[in-house]
Amino acid sequence: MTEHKVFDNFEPSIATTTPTARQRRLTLVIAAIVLIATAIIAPFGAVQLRRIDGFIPATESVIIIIDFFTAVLLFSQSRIVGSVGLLLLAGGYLFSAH
Amino acid sequence: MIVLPHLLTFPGAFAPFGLLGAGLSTTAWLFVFWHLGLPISVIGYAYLIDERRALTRSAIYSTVTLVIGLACLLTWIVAKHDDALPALFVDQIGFTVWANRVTSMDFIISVAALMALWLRRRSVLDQWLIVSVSALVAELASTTFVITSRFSLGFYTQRIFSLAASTIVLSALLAEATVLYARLGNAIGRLRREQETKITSAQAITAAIAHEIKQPLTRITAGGYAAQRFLKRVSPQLDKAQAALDGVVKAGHSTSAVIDGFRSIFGKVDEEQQLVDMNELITEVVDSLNIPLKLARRAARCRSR
Repeated sequence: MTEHKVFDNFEPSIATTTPTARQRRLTLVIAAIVLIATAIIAPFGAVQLRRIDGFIPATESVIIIIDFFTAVLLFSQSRIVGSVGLLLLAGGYLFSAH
Repeated sequence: MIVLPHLLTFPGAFAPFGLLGAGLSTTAWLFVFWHLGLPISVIGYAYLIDERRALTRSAIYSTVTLVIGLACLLTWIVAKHDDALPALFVDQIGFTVWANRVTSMDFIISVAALMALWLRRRSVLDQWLIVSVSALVAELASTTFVITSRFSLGFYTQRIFSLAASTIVLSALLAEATVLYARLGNAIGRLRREQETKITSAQAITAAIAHEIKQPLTRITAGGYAAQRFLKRVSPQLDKAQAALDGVVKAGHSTSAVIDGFRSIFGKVDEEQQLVDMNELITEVVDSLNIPLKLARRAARCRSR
């Protein structure tokens, strides 16, 4: 039966599902917003502001947690798919993201 | 992993000059390595995504160990040998020329990662990785070409952008994965229900066929039995045996008609519609009952209107 064949080839992973047009648009819009916002701020980027010592501990603590969970998610996906590339990416996230 | 020493060595965060015996540029070097890890692994990912292998638990453990080891080694190098590396900071705030040169290397690699990802993009994960790497490219462009000191407008905004981007990406990936597994669960449920329905209807059909065939089958057995009895007598009653055998043949035909009827339900046989004579049907049923009764020297009669 064709339905069963589809089912057998189906890998339940975000690394193998094809994105919908809506997902494509959404991700590209977010990426564009980040790049454009950076470009807009660039002319004033060098302006020196007050030193806030609590800023780095606060933001980097959140980054550590978020990257850790992203790495865990990717490690589990790499086992589901059995992809060496995904394992490497998960390792990259564990080492550092931004 | 590398973010932790970066945080610990950052001047003013936990100690006025940072922990772990950090020099002026230790934190900055950690920043450089920190922002190299993701683009390099993304490039590797783009080229090795189709390299399939059964990944065991130990493969993941060794990757984790390797990553932790690498992070510790790099931290040790930049904390102990800060003097041997080019200075990236003039004081706790201002960059040297080297700082921008070194981060430009990070920038170029992250642009390459974005391009590799763009060319290979196929999955939902790839789409969200584009968001992550774009935020990285933006941060490194800003650090390389705009910012010349810590705690500037660009410094603050860039970190907030990066934080927002990685939060969005993680939330999206979690949501996508959850939806995917819910859909998978539904598909399995549907498949199981379908199989159950098939089994149930097979059981119903078998029961119906058995019910329909049992009746003429009883007639065949009883008729054959009667014919044997008539033939075994001292003076064999050939006419009665003949009548009983006629009944057997008739019942055989009606069995085959029943089977044809069932097959026609599934559209395998050309249908043949007939008028049914109810009187004849009733007489037939009574006849079939009569054979065993006749043996017992009793008889059932029926009157039709």
